[in-house]
Amino acid sequence: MSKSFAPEDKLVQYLLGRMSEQERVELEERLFADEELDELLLATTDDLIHAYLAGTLSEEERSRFESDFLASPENRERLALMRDLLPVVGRAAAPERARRRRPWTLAAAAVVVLAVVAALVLAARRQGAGTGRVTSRPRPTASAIVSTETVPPSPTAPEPPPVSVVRLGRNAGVMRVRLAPSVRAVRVEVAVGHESPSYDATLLAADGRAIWRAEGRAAARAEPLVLEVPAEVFATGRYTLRVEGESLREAVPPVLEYQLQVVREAPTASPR
Amino acid sequence: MPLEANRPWRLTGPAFERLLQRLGGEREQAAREYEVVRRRLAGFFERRGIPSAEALADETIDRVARRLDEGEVVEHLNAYFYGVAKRVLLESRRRWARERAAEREYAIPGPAEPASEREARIACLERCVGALDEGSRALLAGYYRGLPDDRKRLAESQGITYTSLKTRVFRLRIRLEVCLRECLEARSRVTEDPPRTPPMRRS
Repeated sequence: MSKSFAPEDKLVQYLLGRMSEQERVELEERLFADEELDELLLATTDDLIHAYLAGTLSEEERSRFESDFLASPENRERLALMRDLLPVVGRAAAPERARRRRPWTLAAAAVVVLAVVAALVLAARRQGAGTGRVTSRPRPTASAIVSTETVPPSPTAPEPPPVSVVRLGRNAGVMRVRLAPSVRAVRVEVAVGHESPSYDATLLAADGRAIWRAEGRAAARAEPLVLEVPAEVFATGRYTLRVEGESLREAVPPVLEYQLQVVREAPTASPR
Repeated sequence: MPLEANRPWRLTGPAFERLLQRLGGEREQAAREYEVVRRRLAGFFERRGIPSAEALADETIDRVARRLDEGEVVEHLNAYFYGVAKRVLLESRRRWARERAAEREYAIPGPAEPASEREARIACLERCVGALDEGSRALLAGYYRGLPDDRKRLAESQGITYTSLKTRVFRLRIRLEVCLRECLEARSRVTEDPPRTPPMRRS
């Protein structure tokens, strides 16, 4: 984090309460006289809050942030604002990214779709009826967890890549997840009680290291919270998924934890 | 934003004279310095998206003048102004929040009104972000999606310095904050109709 703010180190030190009284007064003298510096301080404040929310502050910085920076009611309000704003910005940008796909990409996708459909028709004719497995999108359930399944790519679209679905209920216990080599992502569906408007999720390796994180994810009403974790982050081993809800009206935020036992299947040579 | 509620003390002639003495030796120079201080204070509040910046600048000057009149020894006057301005800002935001809470209490909720203040804020933010132009939305998303190194690359791709990018993103964020405030004010008024998105102000 300190490295990230190299040009504004002094400002970060000021915000985190690391300055001596003399240094603080000298900086505030400058801040009052130099509007560009004052604006840079405000921008740096936003970045610091973002870094806190993204979990990229060091342990010491995080501790300072919570004890010194958040001692100011104004800073607490700014944190609350950024916490609400960032997911909104992310959601607003997502459709635009999809819209910006180039036309040739769509054309190529259409060609692939036709090829896949043709191949499926041929295969069905060759093997007879009933050999194809139809997998519908798993419906969310409020009950305890239950299953994992691999959803092959839809025959009508080349995307998304093969996804393994894991559904987690409130008392899931240890969830066993087998990942085929072709699986590109693990779609984790977490039954949440909708007591929070959004959730942060962290995937921890067995040694407690955070290896993946998602923030500000919201679940639609009566739907589970959906997390798409790239399969590449998993090796065979034990993982903890921590899902933390944002608190409403100063309530204690709900925290859910799940244990995942992942087995990565070895790639097999394809028969000719 | 009403400002008079917490201002029982008024700037007196002697207090004003004492402030001018502190600002500069000669009266003319002191008057010029007074204008500089007032302009800086107004800028302080404007950068933070406060609509009544000049009124808050005057309130800050009044408070500093009062402390000087009461005999407080102020060694670093600029830093003192800065500190008092931060205090005035905080109080004005608290007043605003109290007023919104009171309005919400007596408002008749429309059929589509969100249940909580937090939900109302998120709904307003969605409207405000939606009212930004596509380029600004993409800039915000690109900035907040990335880590600092990604941001440096983003700045390079835009042909600006990293610091300029930071400032640009910050100004967008302040525009959203101003829009949010107006949207929440509109929501908290007595209405049966869903609020409209206020026009975005450009900084």
